[in-house]
Amino acid sequence: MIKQLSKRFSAFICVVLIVTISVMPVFAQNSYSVNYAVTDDSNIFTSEQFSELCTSAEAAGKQAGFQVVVHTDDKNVDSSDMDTYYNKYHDSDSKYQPDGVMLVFDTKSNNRIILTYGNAEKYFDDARMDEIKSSLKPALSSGDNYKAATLYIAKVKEYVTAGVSGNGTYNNVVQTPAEKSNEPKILQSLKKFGWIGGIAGVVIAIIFVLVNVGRYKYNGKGGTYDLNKNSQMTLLDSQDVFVSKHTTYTTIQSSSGSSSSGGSSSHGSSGSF
Amino acid sequence: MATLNYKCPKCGGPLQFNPEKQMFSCEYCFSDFTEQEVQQRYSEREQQTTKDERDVEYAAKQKAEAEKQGFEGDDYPVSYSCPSCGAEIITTASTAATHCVYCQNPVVLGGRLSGEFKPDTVIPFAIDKKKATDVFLNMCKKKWFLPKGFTSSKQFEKMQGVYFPYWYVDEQMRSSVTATGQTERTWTSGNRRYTETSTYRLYRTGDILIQNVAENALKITEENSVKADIKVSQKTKQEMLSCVHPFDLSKQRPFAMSYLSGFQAEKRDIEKQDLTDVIARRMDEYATTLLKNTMNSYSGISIEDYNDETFKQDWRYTLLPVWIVTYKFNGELLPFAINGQTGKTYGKLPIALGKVIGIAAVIAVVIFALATLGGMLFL
Repeated sequence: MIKQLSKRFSAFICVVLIVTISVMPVFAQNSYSVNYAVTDDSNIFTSEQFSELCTSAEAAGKQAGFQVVVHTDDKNVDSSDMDTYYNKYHDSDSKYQPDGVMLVFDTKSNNRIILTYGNAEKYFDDARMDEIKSSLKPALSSGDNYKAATLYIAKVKEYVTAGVSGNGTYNNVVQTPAEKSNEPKILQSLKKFGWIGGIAGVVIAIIFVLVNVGRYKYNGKGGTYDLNKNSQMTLLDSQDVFVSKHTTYTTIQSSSGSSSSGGSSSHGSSGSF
Repeated sequence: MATLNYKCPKCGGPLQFNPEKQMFSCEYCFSDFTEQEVQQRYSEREQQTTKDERDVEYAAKQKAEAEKQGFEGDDYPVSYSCPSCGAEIITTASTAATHCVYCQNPVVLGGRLSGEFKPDTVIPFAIDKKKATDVFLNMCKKKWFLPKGFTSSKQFEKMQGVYFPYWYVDEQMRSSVTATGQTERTWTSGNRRYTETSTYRLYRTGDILIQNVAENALKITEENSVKADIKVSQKTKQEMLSCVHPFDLSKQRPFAMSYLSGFQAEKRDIEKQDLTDVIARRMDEYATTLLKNTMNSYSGISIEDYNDETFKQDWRYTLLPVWIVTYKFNGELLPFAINGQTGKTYGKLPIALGKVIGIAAVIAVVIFALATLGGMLFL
């Protein structure tokens, strides 16, 4: 009897366990330090892959001196908004460092983006960004996100080893208000408004010189004959004969205004791919 | 050359016209005499001076000699004897009154302003040299960029009161003008703004009297001219002689030689016929303006035809008072003129470019600094 009860209890426990396990939410894997951060909110990496990525990202981060980040999620962000969205995400999450490079996979929209921050920006000029994107594309096309992430980390290491490219262009880099605000305000104002002041100053100075030279040159010149005072007229004939008439019209367009506002973020960007 | 100087009946000192008192004053015994008193005393001598036939012969001889030497017009040197000290003085043939450079006494060369060259009217000087200097200095006070030393007393030592010859013309005419003009009416209906433009042909005829149109009657020759010591460009001199206008013609008086005493005077060398076209153009322009002024309710007025008929034209040869001071700046000699009646000033002033550019640079720097500092508010 007891044996039978024990069997039944065991079966019940098993069922409970099976049910419990089957309905338990899947917890995202994430691991981070100053040198790296791997967040797999989409659960696209196996534990082994996740672990491998953490190890290689940490090694790359240590070598680079900035944080190497791999992030996955399923937020379904539109490609044109990825830049803004993930910059906000990066800036708002304390696990991310001000200097770093981040590869993002949005598994729902199937968009990817690489973002750079602070000191990391200088290693990723436009050519290198294009190169990373090209090298990742075959793996991404075949759905091998792990391979893509591995290649990304390898490229980061490669560029850090190669150093900053001497003649690279950085159109992908947008200087942030935060970065700008590190400069003294007067310098910022000088850069932004100095040229206006310079041009206005020169123009006003030239006008000042010309007006004064004119005043001195034409001192005392002017009308010397007062016609009204020195003339009399008796009008003998005055006829106004109508010749023609024509009418034109212009269409009045109702004026409408629209305004839009946008912001810039503190980063370099590959553009979504 | 017949000369005349006016002497004080009391002490025999030179008599000069005093602009402040509008009388003739002796600077030695401080006596003053009215115009009538001087006229009574000197009218006979003035007539003798202007009718001297020997003077005419002498003038013709000097002109012939000058022409041989290549001088043109009246811009040739002429000698005369000062009636006070007897020194031989050189002047130009058009000079009618001056000072003896040796004894400084005023001398009137009567023959120059006689017969057909006798002016009809004269406006006597109303402001004296001191007042003219004050007018000049007052004008300079507002000019910050004059070069240093420009307003020093040295500048005024050579200031001269000169009677310049002018022609004044009055004309009575009947003028007609044909023009086109437009009127506009606008209104809005729905989302359309309508503009109706009506064109009219305008006819106007009027009897017009235009008075006191002045033209300079002194030819201005080039740099070698010694007239009035104004050795400057022709254009500047022409401008100067026209820009000192207007004069208050209600103060003009019948010409009397005595007004010239103490001043320099020039005889006219531009005749009526030389100015006929210029005057006709100006009269047409003024008449057109007067008729056009009656078309005020129209816009875009375009004159299509103009004609006139002159009924009467009067020319008056007048001497007008001008104070002249010349100054040299950067190698250029420039005249400055002050209307001897009203004090109106004319003259291209020298400008210390260094000062202007310095101030302009300071302004530029201040604007640059303000823009930079102001910009901080918008960051």
